[in-house]
Amino acid sequence: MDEHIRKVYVPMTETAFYILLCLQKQNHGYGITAMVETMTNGQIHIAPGTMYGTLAKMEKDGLIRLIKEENKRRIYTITSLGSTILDMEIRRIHRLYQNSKGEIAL
Amino acid sequence: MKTTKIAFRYYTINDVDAEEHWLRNMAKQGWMLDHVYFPGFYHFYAIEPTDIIYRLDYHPLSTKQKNAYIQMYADYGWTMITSLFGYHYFQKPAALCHGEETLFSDTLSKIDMVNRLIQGRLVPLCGVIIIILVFIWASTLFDGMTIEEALGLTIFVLVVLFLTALLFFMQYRQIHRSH
Repeated sequence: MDEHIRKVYVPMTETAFYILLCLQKQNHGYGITAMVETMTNGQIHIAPGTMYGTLAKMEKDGLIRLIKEENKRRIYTITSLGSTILDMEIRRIHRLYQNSKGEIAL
Repeated sequence: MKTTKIAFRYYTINDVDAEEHWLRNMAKQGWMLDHVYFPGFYHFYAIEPTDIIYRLDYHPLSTKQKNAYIQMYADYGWTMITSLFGYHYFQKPAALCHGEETLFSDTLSKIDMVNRLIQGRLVPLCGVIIIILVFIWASTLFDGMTIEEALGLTIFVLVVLFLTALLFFMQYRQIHRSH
């Protein structure tokens, strides 16, 4: 994997994490924001400028890809590179969580 | 009674907040933004005084990208009014906003916007300035200008460039401080 991509995305912003997580199922910008709001009980709202910019960057970096455009809405899905990055990030967050409980991360 | 009007106001790139605030006040006085013809020239039409929130984004887009971009903002309730040189003006009635709703929800994406501005504005400006300086100094070789005049103009141009760069730097600072 490209070392640069790994450096940019691990660790990643909360916005990037939720977008990748949601795109394990195909979705469009506002659909992701709505999904994240439900998942976090309204605590996290991803605004449109942030959503558009992050999707554009992730597509350029090959973490997600455009499947189709439906009623002017761009529908994206995660790529295998995106999945690898997401797994690395989940393991990192899991380690943080274990350490916060005073456990040794294995 | 007049139903449209044109107002002139000049805002630098560092004044986006002030521009948004001014447009909101115009709507409260019954003037809704219709178009920005050229930097600083705003065209309004008469409406019932309303509280409308305006937001600006800078994102140079191809015609193909623009439809999807407009649709995404529309999904969030933001209506695009007009675009000018990569700037997009959005509006949403305050009654539909959750407080002081903004277009960016994290620091990184705000910094990305300033970086787009630097790429789209500051870099071309540097190019233009280099060309101007080459012309100024070339003209001294052909007796068009004395060395003193060329030196004076060079200093003037560099001061303008320095002040512009300072505005961008202040914008970075402002983003970091507000988070």
